[in-house]
Amino acid sequence: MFNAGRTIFNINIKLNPGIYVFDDESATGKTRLYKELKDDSSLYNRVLAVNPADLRLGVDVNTLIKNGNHELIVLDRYDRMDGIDKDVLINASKHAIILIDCKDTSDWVYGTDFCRIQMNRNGIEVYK
Amino acid sequence: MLNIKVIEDKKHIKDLGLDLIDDCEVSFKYIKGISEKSKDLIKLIDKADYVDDKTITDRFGDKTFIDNLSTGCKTAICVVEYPDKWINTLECGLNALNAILTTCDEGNIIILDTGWDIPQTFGSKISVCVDGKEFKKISDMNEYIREGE
Repeated sequence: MFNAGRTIFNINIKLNPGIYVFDDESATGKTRLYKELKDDSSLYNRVLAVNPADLRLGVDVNTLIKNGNHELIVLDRYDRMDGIDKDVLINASKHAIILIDCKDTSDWVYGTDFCRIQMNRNGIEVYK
Repeated sequence: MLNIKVIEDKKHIKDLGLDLIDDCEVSFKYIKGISEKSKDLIKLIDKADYVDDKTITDRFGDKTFIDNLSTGCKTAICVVEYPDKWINTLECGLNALNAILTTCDEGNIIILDTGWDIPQTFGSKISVCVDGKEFKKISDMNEYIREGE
């Protein structure tokens, strides 16, 4: 489970550690989730949120995941990311909730589960 | 008529030799003054209302930047606003794909066959051409793609 603990627009992830792919639906709040987590400096040590633009800036995601002890990892627009080591994700999923926005089913990591996302005015909830 | 190419591996999309818009998040930024059809797609997919080239009113009634539209919605708008280009719909959710099929009667899209049928979220009637074959119903198009013929 992960709760951002914010009083305004909170983020609550009701999942156990593992790798999860969002439902194949647009406009559900996935990128909003990425932006909210990325912009919140108070979550810096707990959360890693990455999108393709971060990779173009030279962010070494594999090293960040391997060396971090994140509770939550969000990979937004994963279909456009190259070079993410699936073994690194599998190892990290023993302690972290990993949420992936990926439409191409051939890119899914073995053992990936589905999750759903719900956004309202007060925040975002992710659950199974 | 909306033209469709179906591919099974996204790695080969650039090998098709098409005049391609691959990343709609980028191309969307260059659109100035969107059409009424694009405004309809904003309402349909994101449940938002177009205000001007920089702002929308989101589903909660709050004014926000148009860049906060979903990737699927931006892709749908690119289909409308760049009718001479082939648009990669890889990042479209199934609801956004249905919106494109039922709303756009011209343009060109590339669909990745992920094994999922396209649902009838906003309707089932379409006017599309896939591999030279015309389809008027989503169910018929799904069957054609599923059978791989």
